[in-house]
Amino acid sequence: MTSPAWHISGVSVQGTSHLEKNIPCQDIHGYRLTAGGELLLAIADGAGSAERSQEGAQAAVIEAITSLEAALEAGVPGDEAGWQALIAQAFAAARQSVVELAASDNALLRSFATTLACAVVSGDWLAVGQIGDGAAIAEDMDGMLFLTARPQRGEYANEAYFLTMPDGLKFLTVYTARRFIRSLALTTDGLLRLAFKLPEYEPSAKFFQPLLAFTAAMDSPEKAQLELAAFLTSARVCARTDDDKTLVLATRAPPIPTQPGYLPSDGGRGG
Amino acid sequence: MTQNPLEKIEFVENPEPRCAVALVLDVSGSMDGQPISELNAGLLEFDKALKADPLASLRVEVGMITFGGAVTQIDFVTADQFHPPMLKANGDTPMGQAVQQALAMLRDRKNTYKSNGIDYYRPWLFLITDGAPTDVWEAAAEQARQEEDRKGVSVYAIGVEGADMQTLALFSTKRQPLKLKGLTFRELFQWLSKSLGAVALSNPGEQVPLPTVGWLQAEP
Repeated sequence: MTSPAWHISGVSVQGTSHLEKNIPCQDIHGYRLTAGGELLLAIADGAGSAERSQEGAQAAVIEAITSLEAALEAGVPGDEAGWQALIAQAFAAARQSVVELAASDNALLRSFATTLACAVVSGDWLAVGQIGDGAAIAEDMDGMLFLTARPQRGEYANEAYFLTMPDGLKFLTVYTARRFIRSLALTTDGLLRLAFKLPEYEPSAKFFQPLLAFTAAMDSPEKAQLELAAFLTSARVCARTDDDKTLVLATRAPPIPTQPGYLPSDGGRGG
Repeated sequence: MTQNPLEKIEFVENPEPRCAVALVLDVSGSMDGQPISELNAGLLEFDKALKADPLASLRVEVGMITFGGAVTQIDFVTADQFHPPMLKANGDTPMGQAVQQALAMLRDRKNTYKSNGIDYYRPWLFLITDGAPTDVWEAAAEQARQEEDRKGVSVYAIGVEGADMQTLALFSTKRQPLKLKGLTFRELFQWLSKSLGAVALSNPGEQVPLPTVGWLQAEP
């Protein structure tokens, strides 16, 4: 058995306000490691006031990953424009799948309102797309964290943008870079105020580095998922946020392939 | 076995998002006697209810404009720092000037939030009167309607017995003014603290259903 190139762990948990109001966890996440070795991650946060938003979020995540995988199988882009188009196509497909889900039930699209963010790592390419108020960060080989999807915000703290809005796709922002990264993390808005310094959304190393170290050290995805869920439902997290929470974490498993042109300044993650 | 790395996670301390409410209160001569003492009791109730909710007391910001003869202003403070003044009634009803001043005060507050990188919710203008404006009020009503149409503010107008409800209706395009049942200011302010608390804790994409209004007189 060959060991996988990435350690991946993800979890979505219900927030205490959803528990009290008897509404389900409307956060959904998904991830896949393709046959070609590409890493695909996606998260979606169904709107709190849309009654079937968890179905919308699920359809969006599944379709985004399916679309990305199919497109990569047909050909891996070689430039930024190619990656932009690949991400845009995945968002269009994801939106279409929610539109069809609503139409098949003669239901209003807005009852399925959801955000969507997804990320692809292929060799030294990184591409991240987002509609809504999720966030994505990456860690380079020197351990530096940087934002790759900034939460989209209206003027007010409870305003949001959704994939399912009438002209939802126009809100899509795409980050593409040819930058070899060690780790990637995606999160929904429930954790933003704990994990980022606002208003710049500067990712906090004290929040993310222990999570990435945990992911690097994990031995089984099932056990890691349970431990992450225990953390996200812990009293100290719930004291700070009552919303649903999602974390998807991926970090390269050793031995990490050397990239042409890359010179680690400190030999990678320290002990 | 080493310590679970998840226990080492530290959280960022960000300022709480704010929800500003400008209380625009009629303290003209006609409010003298029982109305003003019930209004004062209502404010004490409001203060107590907000302070009882730890998160709301850090997120709701209260500012106050009173109009009765003159217009006076108390600047915004978070509810945990709020001390309701003991209001006295006298003079005429310069409601137009009071509303204009409240709108300016809310605009300034939003600019302060923005320049300090503090998140905020749509502010509320909560107007209570028992009469009709004695100043030029038409421009103020127009400004309030425009600001509300721009989604800059939510206007809630409350008429006490004797209020000119038709004039009051011109201060909002979104909702009719509500008629207070008797002098139930305490119920009114309990409702307000509950509603602001719900808004100030809401998450993105969430619509906030406001508590049922028991203090209302049913409109025909």
